[in-house]
Amino acid sequence: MKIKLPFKYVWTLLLIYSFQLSAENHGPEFEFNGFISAQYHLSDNDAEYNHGEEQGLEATRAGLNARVDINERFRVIGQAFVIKHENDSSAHIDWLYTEFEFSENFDIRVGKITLPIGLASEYQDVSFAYPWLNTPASFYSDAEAPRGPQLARDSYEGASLVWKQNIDDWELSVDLFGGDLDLDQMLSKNVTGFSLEADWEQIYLIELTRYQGTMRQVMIPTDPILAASMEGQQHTAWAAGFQLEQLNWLVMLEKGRVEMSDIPAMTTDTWYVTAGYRVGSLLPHVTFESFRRGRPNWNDQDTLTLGLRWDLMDKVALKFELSQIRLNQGNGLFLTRPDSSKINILGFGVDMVF
Amino acid sequence: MCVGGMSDAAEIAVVVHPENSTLRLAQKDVKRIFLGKKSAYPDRSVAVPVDQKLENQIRDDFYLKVAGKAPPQMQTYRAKMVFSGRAKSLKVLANDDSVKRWVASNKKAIGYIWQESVDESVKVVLTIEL
Repeated sequence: MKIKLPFKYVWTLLLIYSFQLSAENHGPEFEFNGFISAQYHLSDNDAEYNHGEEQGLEATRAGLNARVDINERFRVIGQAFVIKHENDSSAHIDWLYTEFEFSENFDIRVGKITLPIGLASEYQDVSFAYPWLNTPASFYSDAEAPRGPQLARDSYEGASLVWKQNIDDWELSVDLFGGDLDLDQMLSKNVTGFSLEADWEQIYLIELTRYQGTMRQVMIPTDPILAASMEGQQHTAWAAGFQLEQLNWLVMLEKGRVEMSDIPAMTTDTWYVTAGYRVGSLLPHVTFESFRRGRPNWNDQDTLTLGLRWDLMDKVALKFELSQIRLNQGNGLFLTRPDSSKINILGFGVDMVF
Repeated sequence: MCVGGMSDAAEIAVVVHPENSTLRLAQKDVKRIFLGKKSAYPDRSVAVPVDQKLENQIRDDFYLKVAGKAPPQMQTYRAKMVFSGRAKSLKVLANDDSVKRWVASNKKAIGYIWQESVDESVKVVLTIEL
């Protein structure tokens, strides 16, 4: 992983300071945690959806999370990730950063950090951590341009300042971040943004995030004209989310918008709402997603998903889902236009953490 | 009915090292410490919470009462916190005796045990009635 020069200097200073502090402590503490999500999907259409997870074992994945607490204030945290593809598997580092805690209220992080946009963005590979098999694609898909919403993207390389404060029963936090996003087919340079979070007793959670960056080195083999027009454009994204988790109820609602300055065809509006009610170890839930991209709407799809999470054991969950994608216009999140406007996908999976 | 070997009027004691300057903690502070939302005592010294085994009834009762979360909700919550890098896993101990020994030998530690298990080796900062 490459770290830009200014961040490297900050990182080195923090490291030197931390070693000074570590002399007063008992040395570093190591912790490892892992997750596995084995999934199988069946679709009544052959068109490739999102990342191809509509067929077979494509969304199956595993990861290892490592944390080294060098002392009480300084730590290095990272997550490596392996995902199954059609004929092979690929591994990459999800995120890897150093964190220095100036006080209980103030942290600085430097490295490859998850873009904090979306309630589930920080753990979206860890299926065990949420009710669905995968996070709602209309909002969270990182499918390449021009298909995906270009909202909740890969991790950025840069720095983040996090301020936290408890006020009565609220925990408030502000995350100011900046860096570069290295996407598969393009770069988003000089990304700057903020994320505000208000958490009331882990029952209500409100999140508001906005970031912007400049598109560079855009390569879209299927649409070189679009790629040329995106070069140098300002990419702006914002999202607002609300979560309620009280007694047996779970409600999640998120809305996001993406704009690419002079290209109305890349304007995306997306939202979803999930509601679930826990009955013992069972959590049945329903999700409605909306994805609109372009003006006029030349990509427009809605998705309705009925799902069931069954917490079979303490760290094992089984999941079943039935989704119907209704294509109103364009390809939606499909690679090519399916021969039907209603596509059904059945999925089931086993999630584990250890 | 017995709960984990305790009587109907069972109480859970939240305990710290006897030399810890904290005299009493509010239930919401205990909740924040055990949910990874707070990492210090009121005097700003570091707080290190320890858990009990998943199989122990006291663990389910503690989180249900303090955080309002049932066991599957707590498992999901822990996964979110650990895999987002926001918090580390808690050290897990076998039973009340193990918690008492750990807390008695670690000035930063905070744990929970049945009230009936409390002795002079630890200091109670909160009592939770079930």
